[in-house]
Amino acid sequence: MAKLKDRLTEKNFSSKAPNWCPGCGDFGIWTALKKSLVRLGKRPDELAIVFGIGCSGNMVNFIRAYGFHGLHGRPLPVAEGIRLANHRLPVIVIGGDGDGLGEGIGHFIHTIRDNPNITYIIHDNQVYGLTKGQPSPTAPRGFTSPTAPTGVKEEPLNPIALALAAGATFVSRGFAGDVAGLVELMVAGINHPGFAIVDVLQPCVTYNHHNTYFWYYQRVYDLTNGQHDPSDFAAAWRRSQEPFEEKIPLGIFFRTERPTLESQQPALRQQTLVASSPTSPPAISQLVKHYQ
Amino acid sequence: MVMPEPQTFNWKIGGVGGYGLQAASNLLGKTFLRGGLFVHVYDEFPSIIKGGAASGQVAVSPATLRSHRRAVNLLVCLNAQSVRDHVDEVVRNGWMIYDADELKTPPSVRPDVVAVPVRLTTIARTLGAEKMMRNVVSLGVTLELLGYPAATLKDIIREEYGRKGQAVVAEDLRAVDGGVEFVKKQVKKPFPWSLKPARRSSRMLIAGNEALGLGAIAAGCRFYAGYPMTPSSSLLQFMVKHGPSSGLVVRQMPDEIAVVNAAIGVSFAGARAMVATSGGGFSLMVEAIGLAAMTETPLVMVDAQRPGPSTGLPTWTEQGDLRFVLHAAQGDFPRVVLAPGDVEECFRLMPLAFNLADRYQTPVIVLTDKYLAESWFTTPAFSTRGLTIDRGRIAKSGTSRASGLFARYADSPSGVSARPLPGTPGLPFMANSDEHDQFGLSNEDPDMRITQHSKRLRKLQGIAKAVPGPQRYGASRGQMTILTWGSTKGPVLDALEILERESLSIDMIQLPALSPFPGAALRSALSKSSHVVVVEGNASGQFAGLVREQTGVTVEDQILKSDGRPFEATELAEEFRRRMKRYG
Repeated sequence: MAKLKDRLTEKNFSSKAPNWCPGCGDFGIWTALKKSLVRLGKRPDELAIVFGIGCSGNMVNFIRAYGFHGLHGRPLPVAEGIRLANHRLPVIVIGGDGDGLGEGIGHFIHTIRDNPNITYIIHDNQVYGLTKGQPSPTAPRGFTSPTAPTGVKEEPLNPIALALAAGATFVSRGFAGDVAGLVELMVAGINHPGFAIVDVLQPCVTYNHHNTYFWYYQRVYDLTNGQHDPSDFAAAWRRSQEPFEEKIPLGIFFRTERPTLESQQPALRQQTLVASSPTSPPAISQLVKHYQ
Repeated sequence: MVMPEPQTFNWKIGGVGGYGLQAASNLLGKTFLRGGLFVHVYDEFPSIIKGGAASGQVAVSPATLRSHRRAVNLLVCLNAQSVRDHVDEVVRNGWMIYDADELKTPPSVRPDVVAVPVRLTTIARTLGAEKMMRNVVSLGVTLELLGYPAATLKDIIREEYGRKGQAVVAEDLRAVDGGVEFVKKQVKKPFPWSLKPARRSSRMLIAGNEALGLGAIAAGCRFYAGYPMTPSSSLLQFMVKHGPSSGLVVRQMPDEIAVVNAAIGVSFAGARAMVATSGGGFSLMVEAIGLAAMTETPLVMVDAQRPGPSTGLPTWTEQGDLRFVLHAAQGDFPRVVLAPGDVEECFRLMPLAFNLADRYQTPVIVLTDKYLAESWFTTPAFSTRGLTIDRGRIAKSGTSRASGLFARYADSPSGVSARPLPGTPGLPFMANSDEHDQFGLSNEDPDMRITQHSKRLRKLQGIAKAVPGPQRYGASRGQMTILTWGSTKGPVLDALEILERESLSIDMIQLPALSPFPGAALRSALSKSSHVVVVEGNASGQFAGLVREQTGVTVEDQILKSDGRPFEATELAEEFRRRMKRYG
């Protein structure tokens, strides 16, 4: 097995060639994910990836693993279920900002509360690409689209601040134009014993002509260069409040540990639910007595 | 006023929610069960925590009893409102005891009803017990009036309340004695009914939700998730109480969408998972039913119906979700709907539901209602004898194809293809809610669409052979046949038994499986009957419509009910009696 792992390359994680628009930020995330898995020595059959619905979720067709492409907005509870059934299996969630911060925002908050050992990679491009460019909850005020012809009137959602406020144990932000940095975040996220959020700024070259690669390159900076201490919650909060239109910190905002969802289930102490699944009906006579 | 039924004794306690009425009816029911009698416990309560008219009922008989009775032999009233609400239900020359501390002036009731003032509150307080304990005092009164040993009740109190501490148990026991002593000293008039315990049997007194829970545990369920909603919450409570010791992970989750998607995740990963809810929560789960079908992920779901639409009558009963459940979620896929008619079927159908879900890799819905889910029925002790666990086709090894993925969705004559569990070496695949090819990769090719679509739909042929067909009860003389489904089975069978004593012979057909629908078998069964009556608890005759759709047989004669109350045996017997005069 060790030998096989030695030979593991990004190709082991590829299925079909991606059909995202040329230049899409999804390529950077896809590449970084494969590089991270190679770095971690995980084989494609040793992990599960759960996908939301959207351009990000279409990665289901371009990556090799045990995959589950579920409903729009609902990948997180599916991922929790997989972890509860088999807590030996690493689980990664790929979803978009519309998927996870629009339709599925409730699951975002509650999964943070639950703190399962899952890595959640958000493709954050401010638009619904697959349905042709409608604004997502992270779209800036004034962003115009066919469904917001006079510009978005709502305040954009700040996923970093939201995650911090909800009590997330690993909050980070990456940029699809910085694959090397993204690999570091993904590896740290997958190694994190708890719910790890990697919000990835991802240019949509077709529908978002505001938040372009160039626009990001002018604003992003690395938190580690700024002497940020990820164990300092107050500092993390301050960084999350920096005006997005001016400067954008990348890296791990905050990291802490608390018991995971799985570690607190008595039924999972000895073995996984899959392993403990009975092959013949278990005795129920003690339970029957309650009703006699 | 309603007519009494020979053999059956019916006790009712009325008051306000929060008075411990359900506790009282359950204690009394179990006391009679221990005496080898048949018991049915039925509670009515409003959708508020405290206050509002509520009642508990215990029907008991030495012979088989499957449902509640309207006619009350002994009515216990803890407040004035309950006298007004229930005195008309008391049989001629029936008895009523009322809390004379609560009702300072004797209530003006029917002259034939024997009204016995009992200072329930004073008795409870004199014995150093709380006013709350007057429900237990009334149980002592009841048992002594019937000449039934109070020792059985005391045993049950020690068992059930032991965990609350010795002080509570001692108070309760004193409250029972207080009631017994009152009757011994103060009641001179002979009580018209008596009950004698027979030999204790192994029978159980159990609610539908508890039976479903036991069935799920017997089926090897590993994961239960729920969100509180009447009348499914008591199943969540059952699972919280008994699941972990049986190796389950049990979770209350933040909404029904999370609940069902988590269960799908568990099942995809390879462990049996189930969820339960009522109509409103089921509405939220609908999209995920299609997800389970499309990804061919096993899933067992329970919809415990309550009257809709919308929030409806939260704590009452109806069979109004049938058409909704049968058609839930967009598109065509094999839909499996089982509808247990009693607690025994609740228990037996759960392992079947899990086996069908696993063997055919598709969602299975079990449809109950508030009456079945949260009333207590007497039934032979459940046993796992004859039950099996069939996990279906699980790929342990195989070869990955050119794409590097396993052909998880390879076409097959049965529509079923082997699924590897995530983590199995060498067999990665994609479970995809998009239409997909054999590897699970998104695919919009028309031929592949038809291949995969018909693969899924073909499963219905196998499922149709595996589900129970129409069940016929009673003598078949081709005169009149009652056609029904779900919890209405109990009241109909009891009505038929009442009429059998009058030598009126009617039979009943009940369908424990509603999809796939046993159309040919039912058509053949109905061809032997000259008159058919559908009995179901909804306003539009949903089941009658389904029967027509699936068999071509139009049943014009329908007895429908949608007032939130379950069918009652003596009322049904009267309906059937009238029809027998016409058609018999």
